[in-house]
Amino acid sequence: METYRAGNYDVIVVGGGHGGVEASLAAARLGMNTLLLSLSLDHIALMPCNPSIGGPAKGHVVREIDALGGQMGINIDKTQIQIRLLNTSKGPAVQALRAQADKKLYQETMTYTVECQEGLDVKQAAVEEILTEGNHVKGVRCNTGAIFGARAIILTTGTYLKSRIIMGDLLTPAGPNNQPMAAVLSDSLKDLGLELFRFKTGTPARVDKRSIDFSKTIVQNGSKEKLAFSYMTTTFQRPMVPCHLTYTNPTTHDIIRENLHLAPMYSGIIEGVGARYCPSIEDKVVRFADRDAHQLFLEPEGLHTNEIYVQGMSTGLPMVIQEKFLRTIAGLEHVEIMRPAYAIEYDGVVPTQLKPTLEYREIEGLYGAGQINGTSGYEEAAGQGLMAGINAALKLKEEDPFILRRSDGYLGVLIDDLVMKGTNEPYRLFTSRAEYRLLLRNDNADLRLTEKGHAIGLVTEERWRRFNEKVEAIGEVDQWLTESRFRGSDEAVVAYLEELGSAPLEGTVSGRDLLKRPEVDIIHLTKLAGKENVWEEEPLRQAELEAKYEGYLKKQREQVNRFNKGEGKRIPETIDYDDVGGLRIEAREKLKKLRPFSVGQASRISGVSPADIGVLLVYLEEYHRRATAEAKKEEP
Amino acid sequence: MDHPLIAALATAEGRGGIAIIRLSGDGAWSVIEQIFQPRQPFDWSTVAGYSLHYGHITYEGAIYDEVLVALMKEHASYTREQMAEIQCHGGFISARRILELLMSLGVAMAGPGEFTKRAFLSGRLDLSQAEAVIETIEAQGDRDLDFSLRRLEGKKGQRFLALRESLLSIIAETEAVIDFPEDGLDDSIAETIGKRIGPMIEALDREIKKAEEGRVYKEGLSTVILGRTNVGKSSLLNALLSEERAIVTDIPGTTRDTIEETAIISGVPLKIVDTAGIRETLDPVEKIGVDRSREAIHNADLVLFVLDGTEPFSAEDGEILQAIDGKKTIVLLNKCDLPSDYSDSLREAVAPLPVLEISAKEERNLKALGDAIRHMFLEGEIAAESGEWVGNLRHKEVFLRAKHHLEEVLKAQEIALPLDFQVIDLRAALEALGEISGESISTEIIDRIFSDFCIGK
Repeated sequence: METYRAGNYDVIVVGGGHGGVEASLAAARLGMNTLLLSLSLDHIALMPCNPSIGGPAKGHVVREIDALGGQMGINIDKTQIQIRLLNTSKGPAVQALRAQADKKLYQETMTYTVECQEGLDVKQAAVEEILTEGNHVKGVRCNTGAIFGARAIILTTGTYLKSRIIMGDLLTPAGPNNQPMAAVLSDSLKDLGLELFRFKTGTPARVDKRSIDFSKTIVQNGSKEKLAFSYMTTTFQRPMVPCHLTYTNPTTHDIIRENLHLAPMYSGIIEGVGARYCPSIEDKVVRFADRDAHQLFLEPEGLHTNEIYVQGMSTGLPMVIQEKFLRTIAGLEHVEIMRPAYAIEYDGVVPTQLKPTLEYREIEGLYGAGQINGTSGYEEAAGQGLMAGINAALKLKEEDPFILRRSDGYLGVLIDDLVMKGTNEPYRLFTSRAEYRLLLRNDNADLRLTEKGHAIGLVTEERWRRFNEKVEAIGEVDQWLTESRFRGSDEAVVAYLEELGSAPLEGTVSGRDLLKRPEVDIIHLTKLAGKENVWEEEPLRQAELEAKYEGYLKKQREQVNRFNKGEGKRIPETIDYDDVGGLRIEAREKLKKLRPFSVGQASRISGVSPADIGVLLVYLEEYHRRATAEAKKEEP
Repeated sequence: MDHPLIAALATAEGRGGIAIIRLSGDGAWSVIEQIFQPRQPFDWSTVAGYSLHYGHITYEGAIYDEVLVALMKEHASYTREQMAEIQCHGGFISARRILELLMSLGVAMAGPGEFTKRAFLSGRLDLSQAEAVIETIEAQGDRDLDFSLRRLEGKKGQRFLALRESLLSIIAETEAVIDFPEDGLDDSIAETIGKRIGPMIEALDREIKKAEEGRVYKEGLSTVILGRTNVGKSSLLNALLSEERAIVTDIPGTTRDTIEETAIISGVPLKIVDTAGIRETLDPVEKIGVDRSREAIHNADLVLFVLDGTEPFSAEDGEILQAIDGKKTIVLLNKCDLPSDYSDSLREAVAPLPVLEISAKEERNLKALGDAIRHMFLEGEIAAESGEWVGNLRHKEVFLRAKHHLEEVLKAQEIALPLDFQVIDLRAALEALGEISGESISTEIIDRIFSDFCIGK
């Protein structure tokens, strides 16, 4: 194929999935002349697996993306057909939003947003080669021979690198949904010296709504409350479509067991490593043999389709077996499969080769985000895309990199885990991965990150104005809580406490102290104090939370302060670990390989002991003093 | 806190008469203030940059040791943090007890080479010393690692692992319910946490007690002084205590009751049970004392058998010798200040027991006695125990912390705080235990969730 120069960009994003759209939008919004290349423009922001966004940790991430000025939250709010707040009884830190999306609408809305973005070109092309000069990227070569020049390239290839679809013994070299895949790009990455891995994931069948007897299932409706992911969402007029719950039974399991030899994971056809949190139904049946039922959710794929996503039933078994076992399930006796379940395996690039900016250490200007880094999930991909887009732009603008710490947000946890620990299965976020969960709440993502987003330049005027209003309101509520006085002799107070079954009040206390009682609610307090409707609910709840859980929050903030001391001790990029005497061999090898940014990061690497950290600290002090001494010498 | 408070023994274990405990970090002095009774009171707020004070370490009514305390302000200290050094006259063993006391007051054990590291990082040491600092950290780090690994073997290790295991499964269950709210998991965990934590707190209590059980260094060697009437037992006791505590007379049988006293000799604390002798008696008052003595012998770690060096070996001496068969014994030929012809025959009579000639009255040769005790215990079993002791102390500190966190979980339950608050202390407890086993908890919890629960879309 003869090549030709097709144009020059600051940033090229390879892949138009959830990571790619955030990356390209962020780069373009930060003033970079950006190009988004996708194998198919019909599949921008495609949801190839479940038609939902959010859940614990994932929902938190969507809010963080939103607070930083990303698009996912806004887009799902516009296109959701059911939204709920999960974990409401389990505490403020782990509450999370989850929404069902109208898949087509989600895609269409996002695609149009991308198309309309100023400074962003969208083109359909298969990238085959990353072009470099020295250890710098300089562009991409497409299958058409087109060469686009670029100062930075972000790889958001998802599950499309050398992917193949597996259904029993039917193997198809294809991306999700039998789309074209990227057959040669991973070879180019290997040629650049990057180490690759191969993972596996899967998706369940889609079935025809008309073939389901919903009367045999349990209805699950969304919340009627005005819930939204984005802080910018002000209208809440989406339709509400229910999901349905049903269960497998021993007959289902028998059929699966009888046909295990046909399952690719057991027949040995699949080489890729699958995720434990996303097991196929055959996996569940084998590993939890004592259970005679597994639940499955029937989730609508959209308003204008009869396709229903069968959550919980991902499988690699052949089509004929899929149909057979599905039809043993209550409500699915006459089910018709529209799209069969399949397993898919794909190449990725080992993420420990990345810096915390998501740039590859050895190839300047090349970034990776999303499933190519070994993660799974739309939210995880979008978050990384946003961070990679921001960092590519900042680097080209010669500004300081944008790195979130583990104490800043789930995005910080995600990226730190990936680049420092790596992963040996598709990585998904859980709230239990966060050390400072109590501070990284769904309700305070804006308070944690909007200022940072503003400093970068991604936060719009409108968002900034609303944010400041909210902060101001919280301050007012806070002050009121401190200054207000509730008297034990006040009849209204007595009646309220009696109604709650709360102990009577002796003397006079502040609102803040009264809130320490778990049963007392701030909205009631505003009523008692004649402050009803002065403030909106969000700032009230925020101040309430701070007052109610003051002790725990304070403790966790102290932990964060200690943690941040280590994070603040930067390790110079030029450090030569062979020069650090006293490191144990294992620690030296790990440090050389992972090249942590800070002493705190170094201390989280497995195999690096406290003694190694002590040695490193001493070395850094020595290094620093030498540098200072030399600088002094050079002064005239 | 910028400089967490740390402490460690600064002198080598088991050697030398004086042991030094070094304390550094924010609030070092205020901890000392809680436990130090200076002979001459002084004003802590106006004390000089470097000062030395004589007095006693006492806590909750118990006297630990006679000490010299050096107080150093930031600018005058090794680490450039507030520091204190306690020089223990009672030597190594009393230093251990004081160090334990400090741990119980919330002071942490210093990490590998931590004082030197802090000194270097604060700019106190110059560049040429960097390498030496690194070596210190390295050496001590290896030793600590060795300790913690060795400690995990055997029954104690099994108990520890079982404890950790139950805690891990509670956390995994809780985290699974939190992270997978739609997977149909049994979420009754919230109601059972309390019930399951109770026994774990009890188990921790047992471990804490066990860690304290190294009785020898904590309470001293249980020592019985035996001998016929009037051979000079009480004089010996007085000499050891250097104080006129017991009534000493020349009339046989006046030391009627058993008395317990602690003496520190060559750094080894002795818990001495004085005795009325073990001869058969018809006098009911004396009888009580005699029975107690038999029991005391049974419980004793060490017997000091006193013979009158100026008299021949008697039948009564023979009875005593039989009674103490199998006990660790040092025979003391008392009254060596007087001329005697029986030294050799007495030695022969008690062979192969070690024999020392002393004069209790003139306090002669008591140092040799101290050395003999030290030799018998410290360089034998106790010395072997010293590594274990460091391990024990660390474990005890960890267990105390784990227990504290589990109690916090119960408190959170009491005031109906939701699961995510309870998990904070559950995890902190597991993290504390992880300091012994050295595992990273986050991945372990997640591994456990997936092996125990059927989760996934």
